Amino acid sequence: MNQPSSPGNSARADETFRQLAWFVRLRWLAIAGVLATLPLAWFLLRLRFQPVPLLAVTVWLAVYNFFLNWQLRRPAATARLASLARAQIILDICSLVLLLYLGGGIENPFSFYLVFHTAIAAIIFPGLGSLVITTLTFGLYALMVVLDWTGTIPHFPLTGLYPVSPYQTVSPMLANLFVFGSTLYIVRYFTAAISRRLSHRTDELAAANRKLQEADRTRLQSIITVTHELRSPAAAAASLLEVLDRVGPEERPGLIDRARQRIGGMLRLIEDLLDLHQLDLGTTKVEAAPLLVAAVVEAAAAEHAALARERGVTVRVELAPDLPPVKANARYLEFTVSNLLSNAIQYNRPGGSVTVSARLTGAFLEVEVVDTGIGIPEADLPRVFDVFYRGDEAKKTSRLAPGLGLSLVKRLVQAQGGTVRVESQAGKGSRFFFTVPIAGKPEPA
Amino acid sequence: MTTKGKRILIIDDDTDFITATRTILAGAGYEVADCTRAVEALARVREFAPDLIVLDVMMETGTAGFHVSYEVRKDPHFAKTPILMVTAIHQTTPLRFSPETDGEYLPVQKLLDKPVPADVLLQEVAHLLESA
Repeated sequence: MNQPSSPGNSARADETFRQLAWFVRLRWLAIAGVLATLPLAWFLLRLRFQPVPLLAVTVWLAVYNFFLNWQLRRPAATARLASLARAQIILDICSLVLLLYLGGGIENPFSFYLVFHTAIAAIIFPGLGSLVITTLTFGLYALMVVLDWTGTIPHFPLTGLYPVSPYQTVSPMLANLFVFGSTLYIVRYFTAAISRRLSHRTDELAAANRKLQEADRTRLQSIITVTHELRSPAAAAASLLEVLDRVGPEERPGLIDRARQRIGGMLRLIEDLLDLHQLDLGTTKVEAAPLLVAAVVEAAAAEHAALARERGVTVRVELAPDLPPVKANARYLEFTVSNLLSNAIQYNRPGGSVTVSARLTGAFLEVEVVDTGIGIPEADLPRVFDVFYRGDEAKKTSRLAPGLGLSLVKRLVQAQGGTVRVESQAGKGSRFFFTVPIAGKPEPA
Repeated sequence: MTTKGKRILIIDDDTDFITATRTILAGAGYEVADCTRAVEALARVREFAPDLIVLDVMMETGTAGFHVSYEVRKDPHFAKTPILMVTAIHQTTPLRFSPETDGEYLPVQKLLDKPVPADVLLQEVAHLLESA
């Protein structure tokens, strides 16, 4: 069964797969290199060694490279990538140490090629894995040198390169081992550090990409919703106009008026959408002037008096007369107050009330709109300011509002330098708060 | 067989659609009643006993109309009453269904996009009533 994997993991698996395929190609190059070096060293440099065991190891290299390549191409290779990577590194190290041993041991200068394997291990396993592999590499090499030097295993000499074999004296041999070992560990440290940073960055990019894809889907969903919200009133208006010639002259003005209202609602929605998108783009220049919140609240209360009467809701404005003027955009502030008030009345119950009050908090005036209405379920609270989000209860109360008001309120308040928040309990009512900076102090130039 | 005098129930929460649809159908001689809430739809169907139902998809919830159609079908008296579903979301959501291909999934006879032109509505209603 396939393991569920996150996109970050699958991006990293893809990367490991590419690396392994690349190592297979490198191994063919290495095999070609060995096959070219042997005659070159024999005939050109006139070095003497035992070519048959060396050729045998080269054939062995080719065999397992074929095998690794086949394993990589098999379906569901992803699940075995880590074990394949470990296996090939260990096989490579053992093969190279064997090649070195059969080609003179410490007398063979190709021993430094083991550095490549340390680097490769550090790329694939930036953690403890590469430290284990580095230690294994150095351990095998040191073991080979010591056993070769002490004569525990037969020596395959490489003659013609050094006038005297490094095995003859102890200090060059120890120096060789020390420099060789420290080189391995230092290379491992640097490579692992870079590899870790790269893989961290890959994860970050994968996460960012995931977020962008989600945002794109949300945006597409919102385009579909907008289209629907625009289509409904347009379809209603068209239906009303379609039946004009089927009704008597006394009924026509009523139908035309309804159609006009639906088109008017559609236009308001389009204007709100434009405002919303321009505020999101940050292309709107906010013109702010000193304003009295009390005047805006009173005007909004008067505007909604008829709705409040119809719903049997009492609206109370409790604003202290000495509140300082705020620095705000008149249209933004009017929309904000009007929207919060209209919600508080609409999502209320007969006999309920709405209270608007305000208080000073530092350099801001905090306006509070409290209602005794249907409230907002806790699960909906984090999303009430999202574009087109409407709670189920809100949908039942008024279907025709598309759910743009609060998202616009949030943007308008923020555009003036304020914040907006909500406290609510389902069935008990809601408290919406928003802040506006107070006017007075001239802004520093 | 005449279709005039047949009873049609319009279930839609948009009163403007009801006005327009009622005008067209009543003008053609049908007896028309309406219902604006999906939760009351079944009771209204039983009370009015329509020969055909014009049903909106989106009401209290985005799919309220679907649930109404299932409920109506469950009542043996109305299991075969033709349902003409109308929607404004057909072309703007991934909901791609037709009675031909998804007849078992959605128990309605016809699905039309709003706004439905008067002649199309009358033609479909007459056709559904005749074949019922």
